[in-house]
Amino acid sequence: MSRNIVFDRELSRKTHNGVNSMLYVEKIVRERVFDSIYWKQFCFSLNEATLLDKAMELQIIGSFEISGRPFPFICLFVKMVQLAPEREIIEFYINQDRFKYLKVLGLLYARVVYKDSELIQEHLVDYRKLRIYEDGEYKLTYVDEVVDRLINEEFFIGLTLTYMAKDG
Amino acid sequence: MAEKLTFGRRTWDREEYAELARKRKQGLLPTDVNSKKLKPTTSLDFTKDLNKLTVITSQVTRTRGKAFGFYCEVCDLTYKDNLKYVDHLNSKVHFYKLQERDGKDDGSANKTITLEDVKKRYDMLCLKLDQLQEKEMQSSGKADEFDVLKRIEQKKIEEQDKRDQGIRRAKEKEEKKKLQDDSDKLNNGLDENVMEMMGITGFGSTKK
Ligand SMILES: [Zn+2]
Repeated sequence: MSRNIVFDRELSRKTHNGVNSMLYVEKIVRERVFDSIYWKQFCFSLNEATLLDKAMELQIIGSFEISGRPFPFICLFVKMVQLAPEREIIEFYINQDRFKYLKVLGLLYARVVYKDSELIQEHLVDYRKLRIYEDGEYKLTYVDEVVDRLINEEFFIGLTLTYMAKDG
Repeated sequence: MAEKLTFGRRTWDREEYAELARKRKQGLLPTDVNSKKLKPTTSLDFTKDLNKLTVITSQVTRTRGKAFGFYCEVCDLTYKDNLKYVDHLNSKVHFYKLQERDGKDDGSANKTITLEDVKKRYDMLCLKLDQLQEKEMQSSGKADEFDVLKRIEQKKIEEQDKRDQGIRRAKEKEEKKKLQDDSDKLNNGLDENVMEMMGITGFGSTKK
């Protein structure tokens, strides 16, 4: 159990540009994730390496079911934000090709925390299929579509994407 | 053993405790706390007591000692629901008890994970996944399924069989029909003869 994980509900010990990393996720999302059994059972003691175990099992992108139960995807995303891994680790997540949902996790992280559109843009050429749960529906999408949405839209699976400077 | 005097102050049998201490030093007494093994949270099986009926009498969420419910071996506590149980496993109290039991931190917990660690884990998982898929394919005989030529061959045989069967069935049907017709004719002829013999030519009307 890492010292970087804070017991109870305190914020993370890591910061980005002086902002506590946990603040990159809205409070309501954090609270719901922390309350879920998936978080308590699987995510609590994960680190940057063991996160892969759970990420390879991902089957779908999604935040919350209508009942309020969080999807593993959002739980792992919150975990990543809490761990605040080194940038090279996030880039490794994004550039590996075996686990596409891990890649999307990395891309979302890069969008929310780094706000680096260049890093994300490179993956507009990945056409693999993805499952996504949004607005109470299960849908089919593609990696390049997700990348496009991360660059151009303000919301993604109910998460607010803050302003990012776009080039061109 | 300790003895309680009427004054309420206790006296101690020093000899007995000295004996116990000597035994413990020689390793004769088991320090049973250490022999228990920790379960990682990921391998929790909440359904293992499924369909077993137990009576839960009070509002109390935990009890000391082993009882019905979810039991924590480190802290010797039993919880009545899994959410509370897993909360406990993630709690400070449990964490410190665990450290106490397993000896001090071995340092691995506080280590910062580097890219190398992540890569190692990634390679390990890839390998594991490959092996798993291979095994699955072999056990279910699905290896053939991906051999296109073999599948085409198989399909051809199946279709030929089906066609043969269809032809055979049609033939049988025809023969049956013929036979039926013949016997019908025979029957009808017979009936008419008999009826004529009996003086009846038809039903419904007796008039001629
Ligand atoms: Zn415990």
